[in-house]
Amino acid sequence: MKRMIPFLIAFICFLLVIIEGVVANTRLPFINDEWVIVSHFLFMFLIYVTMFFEKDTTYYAIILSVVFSLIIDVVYTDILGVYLFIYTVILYAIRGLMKVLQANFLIAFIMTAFGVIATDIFSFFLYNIIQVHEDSWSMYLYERLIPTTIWNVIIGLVLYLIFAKRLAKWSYIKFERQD
Amino acid sequence: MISLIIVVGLIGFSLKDRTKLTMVEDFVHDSVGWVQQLLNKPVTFTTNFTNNIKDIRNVYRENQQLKESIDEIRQLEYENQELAKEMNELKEVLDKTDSDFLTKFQSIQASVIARSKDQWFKQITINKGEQDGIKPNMSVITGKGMIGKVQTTSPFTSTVLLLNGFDRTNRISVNVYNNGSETDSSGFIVGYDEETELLMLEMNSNDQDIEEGQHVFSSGLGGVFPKGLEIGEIVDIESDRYELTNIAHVQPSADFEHLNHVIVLNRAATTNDEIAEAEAKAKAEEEAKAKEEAERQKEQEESES
Repeated sequence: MKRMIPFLIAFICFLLVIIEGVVANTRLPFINDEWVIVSHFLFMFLIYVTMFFEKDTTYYAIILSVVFSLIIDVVYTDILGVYLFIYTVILYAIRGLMKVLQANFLIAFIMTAFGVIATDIFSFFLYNIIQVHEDSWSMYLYERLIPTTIWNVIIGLVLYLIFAKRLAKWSYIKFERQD
Repeated sequence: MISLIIVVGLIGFSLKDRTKLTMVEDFVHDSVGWVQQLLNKPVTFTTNFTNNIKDIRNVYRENQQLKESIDEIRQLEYENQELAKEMNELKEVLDKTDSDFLTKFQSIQASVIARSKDQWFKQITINKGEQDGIKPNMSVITGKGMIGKVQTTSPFTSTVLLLNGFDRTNRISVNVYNNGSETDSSGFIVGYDEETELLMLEMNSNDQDIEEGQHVFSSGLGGVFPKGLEIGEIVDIESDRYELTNIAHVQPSADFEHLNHVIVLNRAATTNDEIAEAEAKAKAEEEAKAKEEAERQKEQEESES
């Protein structure tokens, strides 16, 4: 059981990567056609892994981020390395912040919102630099950033409810329980 | 620091225009695609189910409309038959047995299993790959019209670049169907306007009379797409900056947002390059044959003498 836990977390990450693509292809009934919604499920899950599972000496979330954001780059975009860079850097920043902050519901909520907004803006600028798109900032703000943030925070809450307690428990089993 | 260099290197490597993926990418594409296919089944089932319920409400009204349009279609069908007959007769007169080879193609059915999660990449993943005969640059359509072309292929999945992701490097040669005149006006689809969500069509010359409401079809020239695929309808026309050509905005006839099943078309016609290659091969073979023949004759002569 102890050894299996990282693999279990990796498997959940893999499923989330796939769900991101499947969700992008389904018509969500309550959404305006103008809005562009980008899911960052994997990233939010990794934030919770950093908050509730990770110890100071381990780097599970960072390693998982490198592997699975590379998969996202390969499967969903043409350009390798952009999401790899964005996700990992911001996850590292959150890891730094969590050393001074306490892991509770409010902090998790703020961190999710902050992380999603930061990644999305970051990706806007990076893709602008390498000329994937030429959207204006105001258009991006209303049509993509706001709907994306709301959507991801809602799903983030669901992920929190499902995984926060479990991750804390797994962390206990993995690092502290003697058996 | 080192990781930053690696990341920049990766981005640079993948920015190149490539159609063949590395083995690792192939593997990731296929394994992810396989799971996506599994996961997609229950999802599409439920969405179809809810859509069906919505549809049932509209059935009666639609039925009335359809009955009316059936009459029109009958008439069209009759006209079609007459025209087909006439065409065959004319062809016989002309001794032309080969019909327009640009319109010929084989089709491969495929399902959409995922869409790029980042909407800046206008691409979808379909569940057919090299094993099913799909190659890069084949055109992809739905029942309503053309939606894009195959961008990259893996053994079991491939990615499709949608029309709204096209830019000047992969433009489409098109004809505007003109009801009154004998020849169609021709032009190129040069890009997609993100804000109005319309395709931009650049006409080849200025004097052609194009109007709003005319339909745009692929012309089959340029060697990538077959002829006669519907692309859209012209909604407005304007001159370009230098007043040299007309730019028309085209409303795509297919819906790019909600795709479930698509058809990949394999163009039967060979391109000029391929023809040249085949000719060169045939020539080489002929030469080899002639050489052999000459040698044989020589031998015979020698043996006779």
